[in-house]
Amino acid sequence: MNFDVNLSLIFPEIALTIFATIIIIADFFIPKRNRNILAAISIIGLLYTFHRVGILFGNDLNIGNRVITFNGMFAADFYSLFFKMLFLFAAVLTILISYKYIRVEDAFRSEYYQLILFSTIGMMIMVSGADLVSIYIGLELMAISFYILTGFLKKSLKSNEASMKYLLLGSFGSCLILFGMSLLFGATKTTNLIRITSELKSYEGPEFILTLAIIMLTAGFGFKIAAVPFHTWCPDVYEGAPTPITAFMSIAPKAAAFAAFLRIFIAVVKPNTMNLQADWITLLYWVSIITMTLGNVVAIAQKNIKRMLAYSSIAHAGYMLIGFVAISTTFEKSSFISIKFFAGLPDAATSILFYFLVYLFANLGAFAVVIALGREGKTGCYLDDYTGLAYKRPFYGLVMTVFMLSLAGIPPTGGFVGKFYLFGAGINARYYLLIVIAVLNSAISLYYYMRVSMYMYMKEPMGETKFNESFGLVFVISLMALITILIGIFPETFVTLAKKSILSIL
Amino acid sequence: MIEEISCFDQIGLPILSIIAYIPLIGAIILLFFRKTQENLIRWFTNIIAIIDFLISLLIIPGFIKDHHCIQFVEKIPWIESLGIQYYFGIDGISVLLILLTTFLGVLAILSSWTAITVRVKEYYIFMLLLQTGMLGVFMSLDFFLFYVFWEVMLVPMYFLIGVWGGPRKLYAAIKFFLYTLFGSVLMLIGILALYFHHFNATGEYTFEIFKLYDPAIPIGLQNWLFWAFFIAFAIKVPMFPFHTWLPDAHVEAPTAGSVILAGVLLKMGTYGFVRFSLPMFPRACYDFSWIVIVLSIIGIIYGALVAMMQKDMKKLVAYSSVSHLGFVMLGIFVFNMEGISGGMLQMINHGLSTGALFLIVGLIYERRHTRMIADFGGLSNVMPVYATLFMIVTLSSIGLPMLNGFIGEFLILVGAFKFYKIYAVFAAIGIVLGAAYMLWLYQRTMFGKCENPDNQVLKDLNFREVMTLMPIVVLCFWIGIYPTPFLNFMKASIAHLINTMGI
Repeated sequence: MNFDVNLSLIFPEIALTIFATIIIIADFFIPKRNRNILAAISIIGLLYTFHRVGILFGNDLNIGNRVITFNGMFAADFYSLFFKMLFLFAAVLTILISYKYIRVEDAFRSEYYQLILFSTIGMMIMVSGADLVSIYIGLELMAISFYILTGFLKKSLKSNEASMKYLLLGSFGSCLILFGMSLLFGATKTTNLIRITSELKSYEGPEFILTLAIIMLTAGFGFKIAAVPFHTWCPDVYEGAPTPITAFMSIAPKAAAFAAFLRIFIAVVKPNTMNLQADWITLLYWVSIITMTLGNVVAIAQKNIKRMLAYSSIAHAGYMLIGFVAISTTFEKSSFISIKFFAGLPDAATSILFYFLVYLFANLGAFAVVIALGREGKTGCYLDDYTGLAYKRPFYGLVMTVFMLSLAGIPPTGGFVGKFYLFGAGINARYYLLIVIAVLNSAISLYYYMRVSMYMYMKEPMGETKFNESFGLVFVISLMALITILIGIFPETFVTLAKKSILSIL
Repeated sequence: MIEEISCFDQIGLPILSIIAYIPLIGAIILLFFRKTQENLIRWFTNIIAIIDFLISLLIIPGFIKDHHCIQFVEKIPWIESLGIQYYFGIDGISVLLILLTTFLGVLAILSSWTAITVRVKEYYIFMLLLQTGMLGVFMSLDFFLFYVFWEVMLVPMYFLIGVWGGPRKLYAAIKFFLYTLFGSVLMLIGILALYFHHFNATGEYTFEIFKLYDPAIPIGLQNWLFWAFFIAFAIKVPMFPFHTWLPDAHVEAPTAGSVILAGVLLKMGTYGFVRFSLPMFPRACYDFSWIVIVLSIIGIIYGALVAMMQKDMKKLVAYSSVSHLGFVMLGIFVFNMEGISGGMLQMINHGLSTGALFLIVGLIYERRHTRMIADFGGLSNVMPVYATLFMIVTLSSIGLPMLNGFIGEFLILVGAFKFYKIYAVFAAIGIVLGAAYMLWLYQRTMFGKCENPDNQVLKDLNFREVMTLMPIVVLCFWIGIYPTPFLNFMKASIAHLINTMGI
């Protein structure tokens, strides 16, 4: 067996690892008062990696076998590159909103930046995994980094508790994934996703092995994306973790889990052996409905804004699962009529990718506002802290309203276009009932999102609010608000990116 | 296929976009004003509104009245991969509504001069944003664009009620937002279903409204789509039994908010029926027309009866809206020339007279900080100008000949009579009741002795206040005495509409 290696494809990961190592070493030489230098190094590293990924993404010749290396373990296809750019971008933003925060919270250690970088590497490997084993390795690298990051506020009991909960439930979830993977391996005698697809076409073994495998995979990934009924860790972890990490966690690892899940899902259901597609879709159909409904309904009762955003992220995972249910639209020709413009009807997989983009901007922006209000001792986590904010600081009132409208899916924000595509894919696949439930859910969600605006605009300001601002934070907030509205008005570019990515794994 | 005339052939510039975005640009400029420059902000906003109105008048001379074509069209691709266009255009159905919007916008903004004293800057920003949203709804001829404006407009209204509203403002604001949103998300599903149906039938992606006018939609699908759209529009109108958000929103909203809400926002529902439901689902409309008409008649009578029992003047006017909009719906769903043109005209009339009524209630509220009927009496002695204007508006609202309300209601009743006599009989009861509650209101507040010492010192209207009401009064007489110019605007389009429906 000859060994096939193409280092240029994995170069971004290598570069980022080198940068992470540089931070470990530099930590010994840089005096404590200059610790922002470490943040700067991390950002430079991430931006450089982003640049390299961008070069790979820009090369339209990189398709088919040319992007698979390490004997089918690693694929640098557009699909993975799309997510890599998303993670790197999110990581840069996370560091920008962190550097002041960790100083105020007195939690600075250089490991903070290292772990953000290592978790990003983990996610990059995970989405590039064309093999069950490499997916799992990436997953663990990511997850372990996050267990530590969650508990980074050493003196806070909540942070410690969150870390412990996350570790226990997260490992349990990983076990389930591993179990599902091993069943799939047992049935097809291979861990390579492409070969799994071809093996499944001629599969003649017992059906229950495959059924069990999809149940385990759904449960395991359900933990990772916080789908009901595997969501219970999510609010506690989001509440306890340092807020910038919560922001990062609500986007990047979730996107990574969705990306890997979608890749496996497509590989398994595409051959459509033994009604596997219908079975798995039925399972996800119900998971989607209960996830979005429970997420939205419970979010109404939250007084703590981090918990509220946690439940809202559960609800959003529910919406995104519609993209799995409606996957048949992705396999249809009409979704990709013209390769040049990537024109076509809204299809399910593209909608998921696009939805992640709009969700990233709105959610990160919202968490950044939460950080801006935070201060020592008491964090700006409670709705009461927002009372009259729009009159103390009109800027925060305005941008927070934009983020909330986007999360609720009201035009002209990106959130609306995201939902439009997602629900469009659902209607295209004729899941009318599911979409009716989804739109009613998004109407319910408006209530708690708008409640934040209500506190900011419709209640009289009282007391002093201290702000915890930094240049990076304000920059991130403004950028996110701007992009959120821009996507809402000119979504085409972003949709095209998503279509190009999806096309590469079909 | 419907004919289009480009804006450049007609007037040489994209006039619709200019009208729609002047308020938006004004709002953006307002962001840079200092908070304390309150009078400057007021002047600026008023001027913006007046400029917008004057520009909208430019539509009138160029408008082609004797053809149903779409005019002043602006059409550029927007999201090409889905076939979404930026498509603005007007025809006889929307032209008067656009003029009504810019017209009432001026009056509503003028009427806020002394009524709004806190957070002035934010208030005017939201008022201007609201104008843009509403104008966009009436101008959009692409479903996606239409939906965007339809929802965008909710946001400033939510803030207007929630920040500057009365004691129960928080409840009323979110109720308004949620109610209308529930309806419109169902419409979104309808729009998407229509889009995919059209794609499967023709292989063309488009959200363009006229291309989706397809009488061949299978009857089963038509029925579903009809109800999806019906709920969205009926909540907006609001029809019985979806009307419960309206009294809350009206009572709590600031005066200008109520004027816009009654004058323009409610018309979006009825406009939606004329623009979308009738031509797209003619079969379903015809089959379900009895349900719609029965609900309208219940609305007419129920609204009037409830209005009669109100102690709060604003709530009374709010319920009278439910009754009047019932007439409009009745007119639309009898599918004949008289009914639909009566309904369309009554939309304008209601905008004028109910807008004026809210202004009148607002004026007295600003002076006395109460709207309870029992607190007043004999005001005609101390405020003669006010009483006169109130009388004219009251008579216009109850449909006295020579005034606008009569023309609209008369046409609607003729239409209903032609369609099915019993409907007209029931609807006529509503007119009697309408006269009863309005005149009773007038009698209790204006006539008799002025005994309350607080009322004896009230000042009559000043010049600015008279000017907010005068234009409406003039229009009321104009439409009442010589409605032909107004009817001529819509005639060709309505004739074409009835023709398309093929009934």
